[in-house]
Amino acid sequence: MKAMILAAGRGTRVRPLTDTVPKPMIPVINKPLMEFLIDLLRQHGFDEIIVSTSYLANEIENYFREGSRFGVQIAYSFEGYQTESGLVPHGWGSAGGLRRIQDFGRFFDDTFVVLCGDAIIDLDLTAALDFHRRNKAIATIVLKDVPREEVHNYGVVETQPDGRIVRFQEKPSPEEAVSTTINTGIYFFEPEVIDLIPQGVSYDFGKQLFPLLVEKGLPFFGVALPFTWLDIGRTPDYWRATQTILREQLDFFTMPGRQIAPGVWAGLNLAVDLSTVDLRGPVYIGSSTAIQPGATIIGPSVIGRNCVIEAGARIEASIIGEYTRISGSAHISEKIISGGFCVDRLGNTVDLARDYAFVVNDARERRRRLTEDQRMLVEFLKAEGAGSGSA
Amino acid sequence: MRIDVSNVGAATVVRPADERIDIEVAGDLRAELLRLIESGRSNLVVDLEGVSFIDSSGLGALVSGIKAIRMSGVGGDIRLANSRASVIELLEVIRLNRVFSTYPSVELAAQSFGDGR
Repeated sequence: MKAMILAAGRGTRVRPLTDTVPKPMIPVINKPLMEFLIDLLRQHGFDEIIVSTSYLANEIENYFREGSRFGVQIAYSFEGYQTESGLVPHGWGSAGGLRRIQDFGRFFDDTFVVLCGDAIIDLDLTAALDFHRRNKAIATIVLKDVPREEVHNYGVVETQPDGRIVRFQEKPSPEEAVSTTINTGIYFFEPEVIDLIPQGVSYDFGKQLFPLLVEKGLPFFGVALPFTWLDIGRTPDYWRATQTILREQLDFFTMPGRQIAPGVWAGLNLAVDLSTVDLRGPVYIGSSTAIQPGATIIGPSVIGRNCVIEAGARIEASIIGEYTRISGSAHISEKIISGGFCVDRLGNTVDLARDYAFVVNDARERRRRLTEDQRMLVEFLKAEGAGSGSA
Repeated sequence: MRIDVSNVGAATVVRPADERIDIEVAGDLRAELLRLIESGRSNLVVDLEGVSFIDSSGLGALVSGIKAIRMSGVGGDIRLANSRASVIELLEVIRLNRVFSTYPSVELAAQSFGDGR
């Protein structure tokens, strides 16, 4: 069966994580978000997958190639153009992208599924497909209930008892929302839906196509099934999703690497003497990472590959990106460290690379000479006992 | 950099006017803190309401101040008020939150000194 993954977005709400990787490639415990979707599609027999790409398209296309390594066939629909200075993204909108694929090679010839490349899900796609077919729907969207204060992030639907959608509101305010049932970005379509999408213009599922289906009175259904939905809509969601996976050991997730201590998994060739560090799981440590004696790492935490965690450093419930050096002066608690940025669980971001490279920096960087103030700070913190690893 | 100095209760409130305390202006802050401490005003509140970024020289100025207070042996402290989330985050990451307590307002920071010690 055939599927489409929407992977063309800029991921603005997930900056600074998306400064260097597109959202579908954000590593969730060292596995790109989109790989979870490919695995799920394969398990349910969707083995011909078209991926719309645009922003940082090469990152996606060079990882998944044509899919053979993942047991599926993958093709890409690139939205943008090439210039002397590289690829320029030029998106067509979610539905506009689907129309382009169909106009290109008439790919979709039977019921197909569309997934947004920004959530990890474990939905029973087969059960949802059964619902779609049983109702002879032209389109079915998978629904979930959320707290009312969150509805403004989503498309809100009103359904009849049989699941037929009678109203669709895109990102309403909590006061305006007709319900708290929202669109999760998982769709089942019949190919004839594509004929309703205008050619050659940017067109959106939530803003345009779905309200049109309601207006035309077509068989448009919503189905709510119990499933795990880890949506990475905003930067802090990434922290939360990782915490959930590590803490709850969800069925669909297998820890990579091998277990080196209770609750601690690791990749190859770590430089660590387990008797000299304080590691409390669940923790995953990527390959070729050094953890110096006297460092503390408390889970749920993920340390990327090729990191250096220096003596005295303390890391708690955090995600440390690959090639990061965490100095002994640092206390990283409930944070994401990525590309020199530090993001807290509310999304507040501090650029450490700019002036605090002596605290957190790229592990491959040459040692910089400290300024007088930086040297004083380091010595002061040492004298204060900050390097002792105590909280 | 303009630095406003005022008294609130038992505390002296220092309010830097710039949004960024970096190498350009940190020297002014350091000089002002040291001047106040030398003149015996060592219950200091630094009001960071308008400050969005402090670089290492800015933190160096605060640390110079706390070191001067400790050396003077007369007691006192430097406490922060109205720190923005990004400044609090920075202080946490380099563990200076254990040295500089942060209060949600100048009044609360000043009150924390009691009637003066």
